[in-house]
Amino acid sequence: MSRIPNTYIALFAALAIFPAAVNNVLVHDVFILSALYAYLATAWNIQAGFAGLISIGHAAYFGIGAYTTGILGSKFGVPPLIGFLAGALISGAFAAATSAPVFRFGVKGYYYVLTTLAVAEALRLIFLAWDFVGRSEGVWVPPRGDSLWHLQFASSRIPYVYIILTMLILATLLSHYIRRAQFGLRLLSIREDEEAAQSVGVNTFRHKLIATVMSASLTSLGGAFYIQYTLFVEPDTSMSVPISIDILLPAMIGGQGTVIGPLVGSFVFNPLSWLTRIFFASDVLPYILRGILLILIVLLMPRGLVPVVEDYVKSRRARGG
Amino acid sequence: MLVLSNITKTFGGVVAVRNMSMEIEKGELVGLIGPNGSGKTTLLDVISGFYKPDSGLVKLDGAPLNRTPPFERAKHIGRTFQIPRIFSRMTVKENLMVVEMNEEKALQLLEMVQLSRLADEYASNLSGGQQKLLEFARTLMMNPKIVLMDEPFAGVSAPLIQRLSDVILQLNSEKKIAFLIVEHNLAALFKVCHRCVVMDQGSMIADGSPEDVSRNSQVIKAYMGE
Amino acid sequence: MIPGISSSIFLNLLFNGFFLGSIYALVGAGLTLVFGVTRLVNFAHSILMVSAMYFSYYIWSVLGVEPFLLLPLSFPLFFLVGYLIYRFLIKFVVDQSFSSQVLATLGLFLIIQYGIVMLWTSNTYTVNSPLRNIVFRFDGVFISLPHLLTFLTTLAISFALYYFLKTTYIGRAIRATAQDPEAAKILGIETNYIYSISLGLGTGLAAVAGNMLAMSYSIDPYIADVFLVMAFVVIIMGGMGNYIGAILAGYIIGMLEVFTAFFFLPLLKHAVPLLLLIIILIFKPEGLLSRRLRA
Repeated sequence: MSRIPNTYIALFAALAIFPAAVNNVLVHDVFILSALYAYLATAWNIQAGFAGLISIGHAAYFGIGAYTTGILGSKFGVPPLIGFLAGALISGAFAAATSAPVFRFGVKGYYYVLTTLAVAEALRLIFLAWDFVGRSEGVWVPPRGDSLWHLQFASSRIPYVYIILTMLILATLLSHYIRRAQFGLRLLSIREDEEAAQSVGVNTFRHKLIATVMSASLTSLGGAFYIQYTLFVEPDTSMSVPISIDILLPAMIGGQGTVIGPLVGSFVFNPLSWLTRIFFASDVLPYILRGILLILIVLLMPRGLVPVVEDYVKSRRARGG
Repeated sequence: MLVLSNITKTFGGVVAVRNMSMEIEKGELVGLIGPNGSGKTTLLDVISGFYKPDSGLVKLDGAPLNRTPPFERAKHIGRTFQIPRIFSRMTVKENLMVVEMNEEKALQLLEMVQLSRLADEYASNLSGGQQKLLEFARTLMMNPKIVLMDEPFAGVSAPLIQRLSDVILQLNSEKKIAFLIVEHNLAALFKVCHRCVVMDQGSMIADGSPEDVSRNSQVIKAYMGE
Repeated sequence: MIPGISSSIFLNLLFNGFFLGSIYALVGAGLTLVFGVTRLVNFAHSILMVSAMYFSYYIWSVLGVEPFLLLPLSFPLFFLVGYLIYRFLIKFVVDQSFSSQVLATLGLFLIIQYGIVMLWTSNTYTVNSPLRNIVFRFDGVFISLPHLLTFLTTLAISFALYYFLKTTYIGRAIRATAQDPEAAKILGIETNYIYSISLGLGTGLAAVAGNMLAMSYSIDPYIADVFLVMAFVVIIMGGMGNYIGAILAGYIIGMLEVFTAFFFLPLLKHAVPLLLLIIILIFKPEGLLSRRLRA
């Protein structure tokens, strides 16, 4: 097992202390949002950043997680924790079923990206037409006050803060472990050159499939958390392209393919997006901000924040000794 | 050990390899030469499994490989490419550890190709020649029985060619690894290989010792044109 | 005839399919032209079509000019928009990885889409032109004038552009660049110039679609989401980069959508083409109409 870098531990500690120190519901909400999308981007990064399988359809897995927990809870009285697990299983199975033929037939590059988009949009449109999942009205979870059993907390945001923070830290550690393990190296080799990876014995089909299923299951857990937090989910706000963009954007900003990039990116972007909304009193500007950031990152900093900072620190150490 | 029988491969009606049969013994060092477009790289790709032959059979130690996917074949059949296909955004050491998480072995192999001081560098920072050495070392992590090399000496400086030739000869004599080397630099190739196969327009036109081949009139004609 | 429905219903559906298919054909033709030449998948394509709808609406609401009559103005205007988008953005990503291109053009999509929301909110607008109410009817079959105009314009424009690509010097340079950019460079064709012209033409086609659509559809910024995906269905079905393939696929998808909505479930009208797309992507990513028809 490889050692966890001190910077990670410092970051985790700072994230754990901050919400306890600042007791403000609004700040907690922004914190939860940032941690949730950091978590989701970390899950996305395992597939897209490590294995190079860029997805613009991760909202599908997010939606499956939210809907599974929501429907099991509201219609069948199943406790959320079982809903979380069921969502992860269904999401993983869905990812496997849709990805296996895609990988088997060698769908790559643009065609792969478009497949992820098509699958997510098809799912959204089916949900909009499907009575069982409530069509465009979506699913409401009945409020239960403060209950650990029902995983709902009405009087304080703090439990939500620490649940999602725990999920984020665990996901980051998982990502760290994968990156150092042979499995991770093999994912990277697929990203760099799939045929060359095969030429050194990497079963690329299996590795891509495992990475995708893993990413999908983790993403669905984020969706499950989301519905416990908002108690409501509907297709247009949980499975649409903007959600997929929100999932990948933090990884892009922080540095796709790095372990800590998604976390850094999310805690930079989401508070910034929130401040934009408050400062300009506009719900629209944050979306324009997303667009501008996407373009700026591609043009000016395609590797993302974390590698740039790392290089800077390295070069200063090299010079300053 | 490696047996090719009657391999034919066409691309949309154009014949790239025509009815090729050959055999490579354990520990044999075979050169594969021929003019551009004579089907040498296609043949390597058929052996590696990247292309399915239209007809014919590839066998390794008596077992037919036609249904074996490339990554399974790679466990015994190493491969390097004309333009080195390294994993650019990974370190030199990581490039080797994709194959096996054995740092000691990776460092030994890097030492052998004189890259160990660059072990933690990103592979993209290596020169073209160094990338070829890295790709070669990565292949050796697999403990292959045979290595297929596509123009290992092209674009490589003279000292590096010397180094690479030494390593090939050393591995060949110590570990009895067989080699099939596609190369245009005949002077360098003839110094290492025991045997030389010549292809022209998809077919084998000669097979013999480097001396025999270089005196063969058909080979000279193929190279010089009509 | 299909059992169970009268021939007039069938014909009505068919004519609706021709209308919707025309829009898809125009949008698809523009997107595929850009891809064929620059190898860029432009995720901002559909929002440019929607921009043209707003442009039509704006001119109509201020000056009362019919969207149809705006064509001679909006095509060159959006040609220029496409040209400038190339010069100021695409030029810098055209040699980068496909993921960079996807993300940069998605970024552009968001900027334009929410820019529209800022200017016009996300309310729905309608061009209430008198043309809308002109409907030809015979024997229970209805064809509205905007639909007819859309169909005829699409035919005219797609043939004109095909002719342009086949016969003019620039058209041939565009095709040469699409075939082999390196060879085109050697022949002295400036690829950046050709790329910007292509993006201009593609955007111009999207604008024509937007103009025509503004005559029959109500306008809101989120139409672009559906058309973003549907345009991909069209160009992949037609074979990416295949101009005539995209036009044919546009009509096929238009028909499929109209008939799905009638016989199956209106809410699934977009899901069915999408499922078809997924199947095509997996089994025949080079497109159903992959016989080499590339213009």
